[in-house]
Amino acid sequence: MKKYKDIDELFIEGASGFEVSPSEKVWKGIDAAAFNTGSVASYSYKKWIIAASLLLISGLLSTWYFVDWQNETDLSDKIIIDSNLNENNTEVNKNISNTELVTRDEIGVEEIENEQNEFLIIEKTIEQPIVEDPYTEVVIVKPENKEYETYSGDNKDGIIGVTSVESRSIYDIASLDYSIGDRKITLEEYVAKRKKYHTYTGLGIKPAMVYYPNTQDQFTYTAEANIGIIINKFYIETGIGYQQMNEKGVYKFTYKSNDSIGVYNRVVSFEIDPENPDEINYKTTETTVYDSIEHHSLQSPTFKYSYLNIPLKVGYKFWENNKLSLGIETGLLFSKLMSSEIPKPEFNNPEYSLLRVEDNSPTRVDINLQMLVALRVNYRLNGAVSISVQPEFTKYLNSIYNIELGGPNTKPYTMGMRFGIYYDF
Amino acid sequence: MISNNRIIEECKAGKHSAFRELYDSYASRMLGVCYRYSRNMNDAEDILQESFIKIFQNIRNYKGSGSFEGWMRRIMVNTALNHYKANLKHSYQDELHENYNDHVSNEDAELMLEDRIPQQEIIEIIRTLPEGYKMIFNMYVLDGLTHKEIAGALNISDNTSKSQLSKSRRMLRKLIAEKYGAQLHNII
Repeated sequence: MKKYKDIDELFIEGASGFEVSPSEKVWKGIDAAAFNTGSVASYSYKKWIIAASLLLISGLLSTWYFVDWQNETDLSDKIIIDSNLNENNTEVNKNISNTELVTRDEIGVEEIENEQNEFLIIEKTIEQPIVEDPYTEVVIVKPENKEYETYSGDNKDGIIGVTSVESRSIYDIASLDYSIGDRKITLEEYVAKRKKYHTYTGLGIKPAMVYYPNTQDQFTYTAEANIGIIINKFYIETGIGYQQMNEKGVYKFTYKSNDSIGVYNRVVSFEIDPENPDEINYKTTETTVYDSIEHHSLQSPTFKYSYLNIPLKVGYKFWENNKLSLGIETGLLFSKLMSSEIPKPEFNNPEYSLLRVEDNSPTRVDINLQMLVALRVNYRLNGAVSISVQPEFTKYLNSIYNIELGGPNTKPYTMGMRFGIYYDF
Repeated sequence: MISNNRIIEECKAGKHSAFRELYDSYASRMLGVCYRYSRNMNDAEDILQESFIKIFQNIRNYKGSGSFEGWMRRIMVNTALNHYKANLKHSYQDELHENYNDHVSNEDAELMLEDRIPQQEIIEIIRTLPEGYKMIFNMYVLDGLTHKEIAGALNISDNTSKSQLSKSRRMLRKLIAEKYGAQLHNII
């Protein structure tokens, strides 16, 4: 007679070690597929790389389109000079490319009260230093966003002051007190900054939370270096970064122990009742029964994964003044798993006999692609250096786990705050 | 825990003979796993083949922190599930979305059998279960997955997994009792 404590035990014992020899065609199929053809994984990577390339091309074409569109709709480049402007300045201004000089009278600005050497410059005309005369004052008109900047120039040390005012008509501009300036940059810097294209570099760190759909959320941080190009109000940025992600792993221990499974009354002795010979009196003692019982337990150490990140972002500055700018950006983030720090399972109970340890933590894939959306608040410290604060959201586009290896299809998202410092060339 | 580190390292290095050695070492045992999940031996061999291709292509992802056989077994089970879902998606959904709340009174009862049941017969009994029951019984009882893991893999709730398991146990007890005259003793 064979006794099983439940139906599970019957089938676990019965199915344990069940083996069937496969036919030879199985190996032939494996040999052909695994060693004579490309891997499935490499195909999926190609798919993502194609998608990323398309995104980059789309971003570049869009930027190009908008740049051209702005050029077409700008007012014609003009420098408006006072009729009393001296001859030297006129000569200087005539050297500015794509610039037409017109007098104040020609556009009907007649309300000028006291300025002699003043003129208006519509933006995009300045591609070289223009101020040669001491105390010359300049107004830059930016028709696309209705903002104006005023500059007072000094030809001896090349320093001009800069300020901004809110939207004004061209007649208002003509009557402004142009001598106010809240920061100073050199003329060379100014001219460089007014170019349509310029590059920048930066450093950033981003603490964030990774929100997993089915497991405990975890902290992650990223440090990255960036380079970018600004094209009018658009910018394209890439770089290289290091990201560390943590996650709780799962080790399953199967062990045996001798446990009490019940008690029974063991007969120690017996005697016949002298007064009633038909009855037997048993003397018993309660005895505990032990059996070797299989147990499971789980352990969840912290696994650490290190990634190399390459972001590719396209942004648009929708508002800016001299100090502050606000931009929105989107893009892709490639992540390549570089290394992992997996603690070894620890089972330290000498009373139990360890049968096996299974690592039930899902295996991570090597390459991930994330979509990124962020708001960039940028504050300019001086002519070249700025700092930024950037609330950033990312969403994984492919599973972080290897589904083929039994991992769940998990595409977590992250919410973080990026802090950056930039230098404009 | 791992007795074949050399073979694994050689596989990671891409040595073809090591792959063959690994296959020879585990194929029979793994086909036993696949067969429990499949309809017939042809399907089981398809699952085995696909699983070994995945193993060879991803062996560098094996971290060495747990049993290698356990890692392989998870791949086999996962591949079997993918086959199952691909082939029987609609009937599977209908079957698993039934709401079983009835509790089986003798689920935890002891079994007394005159003799051991031969291994091949045990396997065939499991394979007579309806597909959904068979999957969950295999995954939970024989391959050690949790209800949460089963729920994630089959896209069902934890409670559905538990109730399906109860149903499958009851059905198996009935089969064993009818075919082998098992005596049942309630111990609770």
